[in-house]
Amino acid sequence: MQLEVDTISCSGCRLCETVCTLRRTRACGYSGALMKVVRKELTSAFFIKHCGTCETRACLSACNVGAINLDAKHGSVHVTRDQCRICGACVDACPDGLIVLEDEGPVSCDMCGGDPECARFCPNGALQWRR
Amino acid sequence: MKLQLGGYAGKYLCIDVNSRSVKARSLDSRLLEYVGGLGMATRVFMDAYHPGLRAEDAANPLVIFTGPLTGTPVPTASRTAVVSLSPQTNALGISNFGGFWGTALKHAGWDGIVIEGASNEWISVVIDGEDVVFLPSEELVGKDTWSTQDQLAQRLDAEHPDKVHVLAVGPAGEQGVHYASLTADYFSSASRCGMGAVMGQKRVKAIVVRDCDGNIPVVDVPSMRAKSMHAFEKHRSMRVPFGLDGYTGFVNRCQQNGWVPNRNFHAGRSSLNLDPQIAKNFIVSSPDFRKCGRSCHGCPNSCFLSVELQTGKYRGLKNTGLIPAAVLCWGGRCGISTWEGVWKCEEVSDRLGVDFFSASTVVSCAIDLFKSGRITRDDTGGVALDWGDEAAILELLHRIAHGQGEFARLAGKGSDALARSFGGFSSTVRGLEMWGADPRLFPLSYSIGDLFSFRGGDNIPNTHNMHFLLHSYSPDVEQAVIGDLQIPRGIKEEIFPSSLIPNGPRGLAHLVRWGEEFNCLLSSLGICMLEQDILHFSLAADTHYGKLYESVTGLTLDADAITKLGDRIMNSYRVIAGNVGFNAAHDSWPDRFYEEPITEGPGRGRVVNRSYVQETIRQYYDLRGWDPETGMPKANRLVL
Repeated sequence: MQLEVDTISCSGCRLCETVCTLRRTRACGYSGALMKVVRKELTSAFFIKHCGTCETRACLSACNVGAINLDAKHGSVHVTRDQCRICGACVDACPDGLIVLEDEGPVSCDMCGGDPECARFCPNGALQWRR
Repeated sequence: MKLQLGGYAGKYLCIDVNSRSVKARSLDSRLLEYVGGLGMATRVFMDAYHPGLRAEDAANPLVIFTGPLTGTPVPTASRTAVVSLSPQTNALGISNFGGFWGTALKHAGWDGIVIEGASNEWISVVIDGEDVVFLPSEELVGKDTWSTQDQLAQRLDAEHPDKVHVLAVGPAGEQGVHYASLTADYFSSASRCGMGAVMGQKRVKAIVVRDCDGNIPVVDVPSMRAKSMHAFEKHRSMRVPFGLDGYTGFVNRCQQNGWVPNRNFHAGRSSLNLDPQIAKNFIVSSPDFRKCGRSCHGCPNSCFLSVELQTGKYRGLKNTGLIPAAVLCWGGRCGISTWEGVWKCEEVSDRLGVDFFSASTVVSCAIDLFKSGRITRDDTGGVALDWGDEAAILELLHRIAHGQGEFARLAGKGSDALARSFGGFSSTVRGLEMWGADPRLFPLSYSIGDLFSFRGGDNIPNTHNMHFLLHSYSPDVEQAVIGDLQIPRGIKEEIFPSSLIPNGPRGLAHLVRWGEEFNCLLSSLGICMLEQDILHFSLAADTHYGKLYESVTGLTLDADAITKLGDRIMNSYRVIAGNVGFNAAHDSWPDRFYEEPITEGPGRGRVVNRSYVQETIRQYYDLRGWDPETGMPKANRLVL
């Protein structure tokens, strides 16, 4: 199961970021989202970045204690809380700022446990959850 | 004390650009009765208004308000309302824009902004969370809206220019062109009613909001989410294609039905014949430049079309903000016969910061004057005007926006000003140029909103959404459409007792009044006025939007409060319109539409039935409780 992105179908409405923020923080915004839309207004080029689209996986090598691992099932990374020392290295390493440091430790996209809210709301099919 | 409500930031900014003072004001319980957006902006404006105030006065405040749903994950919840006295009408000017600027303002912690006074030098107001900075902006004078966006974004955050949201005036706003617009993030315009001229007179080149990490709490997330999801599912089931198919399909349908206005609304058939296949040649599809539509915040409709011209005289033109109404304006009224020409005019008007509805009306009026011999090159400063002459039209647009020459400065005051000086035909209602629908061609149930609108000649705030009335249905589908319409009980039966043809003047009056009430609600919540265009009014004002408001804010909004909100907005407009001399006699289209039949095409022989319209007006005044003679709210029933 993977979260697939069809860039051509994205109209840049940022609904995915809004519902992600809402689910996590119970408030409306973009900043709490664990995924991002980059808008280029003059060319209508919109790029969706989420944990599953990452090519570098810099967070994996940044973690010295092996607390962060690839979740092969969903294509995203998963932080094992018990092992994590909350040093923030993964947060710094993520090239798109998609790992957020909270009081309990770093948080990354867990695909909403297997039914991502962003794909449920995306009105254009740009984000699709492929089972 | 700042209110802790969902949906609202809880406070708004009052910025005096003359004294450079900045005050934060809280939303109080009285203001909250006006919901937000258009309602709150109208209330705040009315508190500052006094009879005798003129649009050009420094004391004319520019009031900008988001709604409590702006920035939420509700379909089309991106809108921001702008209210001030309009230079075009001197009555209340009410405009509205989408995009991301309003959402950014709420994230910065503000529901609205009031700009007061007038600065001595050109400035930009920069809002960065709690901080407000006045940025000297003399070097931006003369820059178009896109350059202004680019330069301010570079200056404020060169690394992340997309995090700088700029609401700017172009050269037209600087020059006080009466129909100057405000443009946010390149393509989102508060275009109608000349709000750009108001900001320009205050010597404010731009209001900039920087993205910040703020967010807006929601009181009842599960309930809001369920309502929102329900609305998105409605969109999926009723989806009207936008993007290329929607764009060209609309134009095609207008051509087939004869709905394209002819040159300055002359009676013949429009020569507009734009082939959708040719349009497709200009659509480039790549990850860097996209073929499908572009959206404002949270919008499933993607109603902006993107094109790129790789050949021809406008080679290099890239525009991602095209809307089909511009084809009727530039193609129909001004006679431009190519897609590229229409798109170039749309781009130039966006960049110069003029409302293309009014600008195309003014240009068509000027061409008409020239072709009929009422004006010559001596008047126009050497420009020979002709239908469809793109070079001449673009030249005139530039001169108007930059205030170059006596004729251009006169044209900058609107088509009524041209007609007053030279004669000829000006298509305005209460001083505002009509958006482009010829009332002889479109069904009356769609176009009649022009006569009652809180702007002037513009049916967008009331009957523009009644697109379902433009379709042909089989009898059983027609009954299903009526069944789905969420119009309050009793009123629906008054409007559509058995079919989708409104039930005489009384039914038509009910249709307008209900359309206004609905649109006043949506514009106050922060929802796009065109939302119901797609959803065919299948979501109820009270049980859907009222409950959505409740789940977001924790406050109640029932049917009576929604009706009161609409009444207050409409009465406020009407009182100010009355103060500047408008009365029942001005609730009319120009005589041409009643007297000159269409001579060719599907609309052949049609004129507007004057007595039917007058009876509808009488019925409408009666529904509103307005004086039948003056068309003004009666003092004893006035709710503001």
